[in-house]
Amino acid sequence: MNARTLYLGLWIACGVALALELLIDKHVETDIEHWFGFHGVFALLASAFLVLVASLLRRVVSRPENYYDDR
Amino acid sequence: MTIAELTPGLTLILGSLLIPLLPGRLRPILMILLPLAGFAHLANLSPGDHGAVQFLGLDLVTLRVDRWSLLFGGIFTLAALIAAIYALHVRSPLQATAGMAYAGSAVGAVFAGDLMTLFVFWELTAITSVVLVWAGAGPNAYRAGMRYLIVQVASGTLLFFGAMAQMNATGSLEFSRIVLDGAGSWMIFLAFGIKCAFPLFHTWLPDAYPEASEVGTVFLSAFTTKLAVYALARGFAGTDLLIPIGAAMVAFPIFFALIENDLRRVLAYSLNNQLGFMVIGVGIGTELSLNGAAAHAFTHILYKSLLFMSLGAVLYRVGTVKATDLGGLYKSMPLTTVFCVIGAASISGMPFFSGFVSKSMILSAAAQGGHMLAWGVLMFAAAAMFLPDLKVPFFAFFARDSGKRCEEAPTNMLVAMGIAAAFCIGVGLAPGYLYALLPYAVAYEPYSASHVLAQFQLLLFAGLVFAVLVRMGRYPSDKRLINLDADWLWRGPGMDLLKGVARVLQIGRECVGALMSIKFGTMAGLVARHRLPDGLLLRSWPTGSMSLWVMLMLFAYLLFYYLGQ
Repeated sequence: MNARTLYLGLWIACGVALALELLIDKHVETDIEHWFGFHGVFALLASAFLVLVASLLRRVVSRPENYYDDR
Repeated sequence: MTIAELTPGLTLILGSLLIPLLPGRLRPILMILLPLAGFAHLANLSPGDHGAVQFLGLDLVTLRVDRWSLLFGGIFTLAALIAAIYALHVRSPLQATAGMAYAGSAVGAVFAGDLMTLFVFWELTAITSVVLVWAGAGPNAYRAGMRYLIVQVASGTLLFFGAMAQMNATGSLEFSRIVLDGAGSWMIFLAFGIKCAFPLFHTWLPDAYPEASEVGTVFLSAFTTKLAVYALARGFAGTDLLIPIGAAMVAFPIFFALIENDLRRVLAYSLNNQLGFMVIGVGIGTELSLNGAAAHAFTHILYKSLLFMSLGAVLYRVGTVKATDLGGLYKSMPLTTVFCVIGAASISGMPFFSGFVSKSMILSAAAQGGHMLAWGVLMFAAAAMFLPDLKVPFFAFFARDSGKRCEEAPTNMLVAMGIAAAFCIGVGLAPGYLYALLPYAVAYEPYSASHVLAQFQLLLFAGLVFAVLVRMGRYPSDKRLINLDADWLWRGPGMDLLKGVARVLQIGRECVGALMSIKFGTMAGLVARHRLPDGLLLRSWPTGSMSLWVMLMLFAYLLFYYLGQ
């Protein structure tokens, strides 16, 4: 199995995970989770937010490896 | 006094002292027998308070057996067994001795029924564990170990004075529920918080753990912080303040974990994130949330040590765990790769692995208790943390081939990883066995079609973001950089300030010294001997050394007390 198959497989798996939601009886603990595809969309947004903020954070906190040694 | 009256911590601590005395070929046998003896000791305990000791007029309870202490004592002993097997290839007895004494101290601490006994074992965990940091190679390990020791001893000193103040206020040293209403209770809270890596007090963790030896980190990851979670659950369950603290602990390490290049440091930040789950569970304070915190501590110890073991094997074979220098190692270390993937699946809460059955209890408790902000942060972590969790196996074993080829991990490491992996899968598939050990009765079922699908959606879509970013070359690619954390304040400007003050003092001292020697000759010498800073009469003694001596005296007293029975 090469990387491309795996990548396509992941897209398909995401689609299947969304489709399955139509078939099962949803038991969730908060109102917002009743929205269709909530967990998938939430994960997309959360991950995108993480990557954006982490990229900004890197600009602020990243230093060369010998930063503390050279002080 | 029977063995059932002795704290099981002593079995490991006293046993560890025998390790260096044995010839090399017998040592492995003892290292495996010790935790097994610890289990036998645990099995012989009966619930209730035992091991009452009088010390300096104080009533101490050195052994309190209940479901909390048995659960944590049990998982600590299991972690000690796994780490001992993992350490069998190390020839020098130093790490095994320190590691086993460290495990014993942690076990002793969870069975402590009073604050003074807790303090003794609390400090012992600090002193024994720093050896494991120092066992890492190079000056960085030494310096990180010093910083680690200062922080840990500070936590112990706070606990000591907190306990004293608490006794003055309440007349009792009993370690039970503490209300945050006086200086003593706040000092104890802070002492626990430092060891639990509360935000801003957390930097010792990502600083020291990645510098320890490959064996050292496995020991370290299991005990100190989970002992602190246990202590918080014992003393401060239901303290509302813990919920925002836990939420901050859950959130901020995710960002640091994503951009960190040293993969063991990625794991250290993710450890900090996982502690946040437990702290929120303790803060909510319902039976479900406390069960969740206890269960999560149990599963976390196993999968986190599994992850640290797999990277330890990489460090042992390849000599580095930097993401920029690794890749393609699955070709050389297929079994280690499988174990690392199992650890990553467990930590990320993949259904049918151990993290899923414990993490979801805390999420449910937050939702049921109406703590929606905490629930939101926990959900964010449950989804977003998958990216750093994926990064560890991906950059070490897959990604682009670094061309590095090495042997598979030594057999003892593979056996230790195998045991931990078996528990990760076993607990995930049959959570009932773990639930039966929890402090309160469990009426929780993690496996419903709806819950499993929701979790798969979270992970698949987070995984999709990871895959798309890697494929487009837009993943915040790992670079040979370090990232400043809050400790920059005292390692950077704070250190400069301290150096400046020291320089000024030095100059002042030289001036006074010169003046003295010119004007007063021998008399000045006499005065200097007694009255100058560091003179006999003016020498200042750190409070930490006082608490250290009290601890040593008490420990020696306990030892003689037991031997005299």
